[in-house]
Amino acid sequence: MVFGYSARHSILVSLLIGLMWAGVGRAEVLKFPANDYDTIQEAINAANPQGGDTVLVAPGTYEENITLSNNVTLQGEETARTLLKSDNSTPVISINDLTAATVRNFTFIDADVGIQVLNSAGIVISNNVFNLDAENRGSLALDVSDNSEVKVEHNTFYNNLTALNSFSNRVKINNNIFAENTIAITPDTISENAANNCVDNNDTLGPVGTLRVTGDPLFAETSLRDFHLKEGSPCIDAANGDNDVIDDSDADIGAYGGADAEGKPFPVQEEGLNATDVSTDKLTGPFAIKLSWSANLSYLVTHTSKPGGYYLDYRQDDGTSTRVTVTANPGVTSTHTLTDLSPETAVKPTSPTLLSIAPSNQTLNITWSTVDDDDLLDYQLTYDDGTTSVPVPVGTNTSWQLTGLDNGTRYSISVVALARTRYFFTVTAFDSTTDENQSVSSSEVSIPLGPVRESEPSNVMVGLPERVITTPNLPDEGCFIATAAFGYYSAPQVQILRDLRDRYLLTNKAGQLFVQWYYIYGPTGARYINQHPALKPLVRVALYPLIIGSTFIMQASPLAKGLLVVLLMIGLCLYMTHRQLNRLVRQGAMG
Amino acid sequence: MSCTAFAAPFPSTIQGKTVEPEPSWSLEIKGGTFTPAIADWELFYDDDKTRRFAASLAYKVSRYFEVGIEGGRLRDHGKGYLPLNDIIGGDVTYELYPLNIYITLVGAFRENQLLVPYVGGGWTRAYYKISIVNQRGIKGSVDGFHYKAGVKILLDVLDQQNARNLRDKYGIDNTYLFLEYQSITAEVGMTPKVDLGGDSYLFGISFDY
Repeated sequence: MVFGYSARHSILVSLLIGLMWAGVGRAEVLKFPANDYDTIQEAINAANPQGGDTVLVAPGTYEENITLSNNVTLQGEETARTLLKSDNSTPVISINDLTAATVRNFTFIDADVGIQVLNSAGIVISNNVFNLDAENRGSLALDVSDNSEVKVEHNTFYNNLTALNSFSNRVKINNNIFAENTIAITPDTISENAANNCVDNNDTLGPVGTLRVTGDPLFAETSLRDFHLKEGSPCIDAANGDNDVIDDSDADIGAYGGADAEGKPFPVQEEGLNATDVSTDKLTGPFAIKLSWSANLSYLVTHTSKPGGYYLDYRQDDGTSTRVTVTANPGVTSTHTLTDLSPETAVKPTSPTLLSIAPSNQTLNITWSTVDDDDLLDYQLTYDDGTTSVPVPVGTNTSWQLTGLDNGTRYSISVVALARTRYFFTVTAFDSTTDENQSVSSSEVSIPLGPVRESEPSNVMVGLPERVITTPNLPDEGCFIATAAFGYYSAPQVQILRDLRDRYLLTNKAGQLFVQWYYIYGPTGARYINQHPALKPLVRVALYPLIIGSTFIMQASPLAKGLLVVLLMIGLCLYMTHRQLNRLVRQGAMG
Repeated sequence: MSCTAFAAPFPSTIQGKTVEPEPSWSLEIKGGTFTPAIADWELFYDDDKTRRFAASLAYKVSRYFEVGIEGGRLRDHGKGYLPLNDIIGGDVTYELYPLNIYITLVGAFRENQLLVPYVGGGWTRAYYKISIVNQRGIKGSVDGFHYKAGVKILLDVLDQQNARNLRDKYGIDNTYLFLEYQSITAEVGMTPKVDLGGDSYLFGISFDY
């Protein structure tokens, strides 16, 4: 196909217009984190300055120094859980020389400067929490200079050294909460720009405006940085200028009020979320579990006349989840009891397999395979010496060291897996608005319920604990009394006794017991001999028969030992015969 | 032999002028392999060798004759034997501390001789210690003897500037790298006897001062 000049011109113009329209007209939402961006700054840099793009930041804690671009909205997905911080003195967010930009729905923590605005106009700072740690950091929450034009609306400034430092007459400060700050607003030259702010317990108030609300804002839980308002807060429905998107009433003052407020309730915390087995009989039932958790104290959840509540999701192992709706109460702790639960009672867990038994002195080191079962509670080891069977609870370990056993005894070892059905729970808060905004679910907690189910025993393995013979099997400095009597360790007489011990005593049970006894009491005797040197010759004389006997036992040939036994028997016979003859002679003399 | 040589092993100064005495002492630091003479060592300790470290101090009676003392250590983790089960088992740690008193004949025939051979030997006292997991350990000592032979390389010849610095700053007259073979025999009086000794190949550095 061939186009004429005018046709080609028309196509090019159309393409250019199309491209310009596509580039200028569409505002996009760039989500962070995303594969394309490693930092929030990279996401901002990727935003189209002509299109009014929004960089939407997912919940998380981000440590970064950000420089905002023109015509970009930087927004947190969830105010209470999207935290920005900085470890240096550079502002977390710098807004320099811009004509339009917005920052909203973030919580600023642990920083010297939260946001700094220089030489800019059309800047909106709304629905943020500034809680910068007044105790340890410079904590200047918002710093405006160079006569910048900034709207500071629906923010909560809590426990900062300076909440707002403004060297500009074009700063509008409306519907914010200033609480527990050292300085709320400084300097004093901008009072005509502030109105409808809620103030409480600031050391220096500054020009917060005449139409102000005073009194404790009643934050839900400042230690968790949950700055939602509790029922009775003077800041509820006290703003002017717009309605709340959350409950469609007059807007609240602070970070969770107004048109741009983010509506998710604060999540139920893992700490304080407990499950307790309250079954009538823990083995036979009826089975019940009582759950308790720290209540969400936001008035939108615990409202007296129109309360929100909690979704309680529970499941058994990998089973289908069941949801129960629990109406919130204004209390600090919420509870709910699940009754008529039916834990598994019949199915036995898989048997473990004994893998190895490594013996050593009075000890067996045992290993077995892992049983892959969500219900696994513990393993139980059993050792049996032929007369007694001893169960040993070993927790969830898959190896165990049995100690204190008798050397030379054969022990039959087996292991069983113990299981109990496990129930898993999460709790999700929802508010009383028509949309029933939901928090993210709590962390999952679990509890075992019902009777303990025992697997079939594993394979049986035999272990035989015994003394370790070292290589080289060397003599020990053990003959305390002989060493003391003969004066030095390496005396040949002492060496003979050591050899006797190593070769003839430690190789049998009775000998081992004797050596054990001797090692307890021998040192005491040796000490006594050393303290009384006069005894040494006597002890030496007393030991010589033992030394001679030991020498014979160890160094004589089997023939010599046999001859000795024969000679001893002959001697014994002669002795007995001699005694017999003597008795007969005495009887004959008397008769 | 001068008595002052014992008392003052470092260079002395007389009337502001440094007097360089003949080196009287030799300090050695060395390490290397030790192959125990114990039968079946490899079976229980995974390797037929283990590492050995030692240090010695010798008095140079003359250029050709030294008397010294040497202390060293070797250590290895291994297994024991379980006769009833007839298996290797249990965890043991074997330590040997050989203490040598020796004489050495040194083949230093001229000043600045690059390669200096030497042979020596003497009495050994071998202190042993065996630790056994879950069981009372064993320790003791036994007499023996050792001999050695090696060759030293005089570094001063290779780097004269450093040699001068060492002499001026620390009073070290000669610095050697050396390679040494050493054999220890130390039999424990059991039946059959066990030789705790073995063969060492040691590499080290020595300083004469």
